[in-house]
Amino acid sequence: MTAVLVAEDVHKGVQLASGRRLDLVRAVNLTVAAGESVAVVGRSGSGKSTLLTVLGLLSRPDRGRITVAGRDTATLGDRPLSALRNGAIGFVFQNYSLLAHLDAAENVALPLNHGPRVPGREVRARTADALAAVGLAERARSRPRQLSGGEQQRVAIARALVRDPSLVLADEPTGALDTATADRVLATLTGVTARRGAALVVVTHDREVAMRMDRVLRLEDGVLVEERQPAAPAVGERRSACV
Amino acid sequence: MRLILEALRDLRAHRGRTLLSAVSLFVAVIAVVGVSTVGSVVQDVFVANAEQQHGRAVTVATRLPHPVVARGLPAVLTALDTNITRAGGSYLLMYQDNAQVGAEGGAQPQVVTLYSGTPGAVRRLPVLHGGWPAPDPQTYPGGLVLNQAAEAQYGGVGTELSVQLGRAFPAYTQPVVGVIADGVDAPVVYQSLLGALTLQPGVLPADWSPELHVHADGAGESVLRSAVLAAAADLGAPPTGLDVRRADTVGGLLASLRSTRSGFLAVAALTLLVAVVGLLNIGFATVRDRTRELTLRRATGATRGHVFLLVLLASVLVGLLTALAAVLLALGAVDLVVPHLLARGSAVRAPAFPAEAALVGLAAALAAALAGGAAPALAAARVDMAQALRD
Ligand SMILES: Nc1ncnc2c1ncn2[C@@H]1O[C@H](COP(=O)(O)OP(=O)(O)O)[C@@H](O)[C@H]1O
Ligand SMILES: [Mg+2]
Repeated sequence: MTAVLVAEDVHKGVQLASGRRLDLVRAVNLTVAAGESVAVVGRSGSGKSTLLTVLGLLSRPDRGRITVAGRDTATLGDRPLSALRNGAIGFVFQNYSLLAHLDAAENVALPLNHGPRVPGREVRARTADALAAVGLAERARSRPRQLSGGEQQRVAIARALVRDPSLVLADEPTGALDTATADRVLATLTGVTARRGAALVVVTHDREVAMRMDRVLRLEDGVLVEERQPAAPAVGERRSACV
Repeated sequence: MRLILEALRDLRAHRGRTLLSAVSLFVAVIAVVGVSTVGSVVQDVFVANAEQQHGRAVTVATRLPHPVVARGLPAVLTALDTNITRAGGSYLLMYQDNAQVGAEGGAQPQVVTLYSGTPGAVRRLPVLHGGWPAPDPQTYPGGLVLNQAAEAQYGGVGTELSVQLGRAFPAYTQPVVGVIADGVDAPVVYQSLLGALTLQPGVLPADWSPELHVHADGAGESVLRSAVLAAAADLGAPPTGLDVRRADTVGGLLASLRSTRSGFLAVAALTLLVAVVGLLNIGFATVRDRTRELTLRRATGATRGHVFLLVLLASVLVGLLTALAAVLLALGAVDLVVPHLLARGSAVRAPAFPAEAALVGLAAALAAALAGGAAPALAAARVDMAQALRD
């Protein structure tokens, strides 16, 4: 079993407008193996997204070490970090997904514009593959506003997978969708990542989503606590999940 | 290459903004090219007129007193050839005589300028018809050359004119062989000194005292002055006896034009500055608008350098395309308009392709695009990728 993502003693705080410092992530340790799926749950505002920006190399941790695809990222500069984001990691965001002036295929091809040069023919082939994998082969020329919310999120999943990353990070991927659509999108996400052998980390406050993952971790007071099985939610937890 | 295509696509995606930033830059580049072209045309006009009337830059002049020329014209010309022509310079020796000129029977008082040397080399004198007679003794007497006023009065090339130099001498007939523009409003008739002497030996008074103008391309005032003094010395003149002064007015003219021109250039620079501020403004607004897109690009693997270049390149492309359009327009205007402003016989040639102005315009646009694009590009390269997971 190879570890795709290793976080050791990771700390990350944010500066509030008031000037006060908020230590959202304190001493997080996490290892995610290839092909494994992990849910990170927690109250809204507990720092799940902040943790994900650090794990996804979108911001640097204040302390600790993050290893992605076998590379220690602590000392890497912008170029190798960008290369890792480009080739080793795929992102699925809640709201921040597609560019309105590009069609579905162009949105999916975005990561292929950066990093190692990919010839035009291969760009088209890989884009078509990725769109087919999420069941949207017919919608390649559609603009985001011509697609439903669920379809848009499936396009985003195709984009996350187009470079065949070993790690997919998703932040509330179904947060903006109704239950039935959420189910379908989640099935796509887990199915496609599993088929490609990629590890999947999903941040969610939704227990239903968390239960579909192999492991569930809870972010509480800045530390990840392992919940071996996604157990029935405690009363307080359920309430915060519905906020 | 891939980056340029990408930048072009970005420009197309933000057509309105692109056009806006282009407009202010367009005006500025037109101003820069216009000012430098018009400046050089105006300068050309002034310089041409000055060189037409007083001699090319640099020309010195002196009156050769009678004792210096007393050894006779051949000795004078030998001294001038030795010290001036052989050294690569040109001279114009002039003596004005009151004469009677006109068609047979209709002669009237007219000053005739008897000259030796090469008038066109010393002064800028456009030839309108015919030409100066060749300075070859075989062709003497060689004929007459008129300025435009004289042409209007006596007739053009081919007209036979009767010339009587002084009451004591009989008149002779000479054809008009050339018409020139000398910038003088009164009629002027030119005839070669040697030509006149072959027709009328002894026509020069015993105490004649000609005017000497000397010019050599690239030679300064002191070099020319020493050449004149050396020629005079050959003729036995004491070294302090001659008052050799600068004759052309180009130096002072250029100095006064330079200050006017730098005033205009300051205005052009100001419009350029305004354009840069406009570019900055639009650049920052564009980056703000594109934050979402740029963040997403960064998150999916674009390096900071790539994003920086992408935004800068968009600005530079706008700058270059705009500058190209503005330069073409300005040059077209100069090409079409300026020739109409030049009178026939003007000593001014229509400006050739003002490459300097075009280059200045392009350089100005490029500098403006870089200045106005760098800060927004830097801001673009610094977008906070963590934002992708918020809002
Ligand atoms: N850059 C920032 N500046 C100020 N406050 C921030 C910043 N990022 C996050 N926060 C605050 O930190 C808390 C945790 O945010 P987040 O990581 O998005 O939590 P979650 O994703 O678990 O809801 C929130 O209260 C949020 O307002
Ligand atoms: Mg969040």
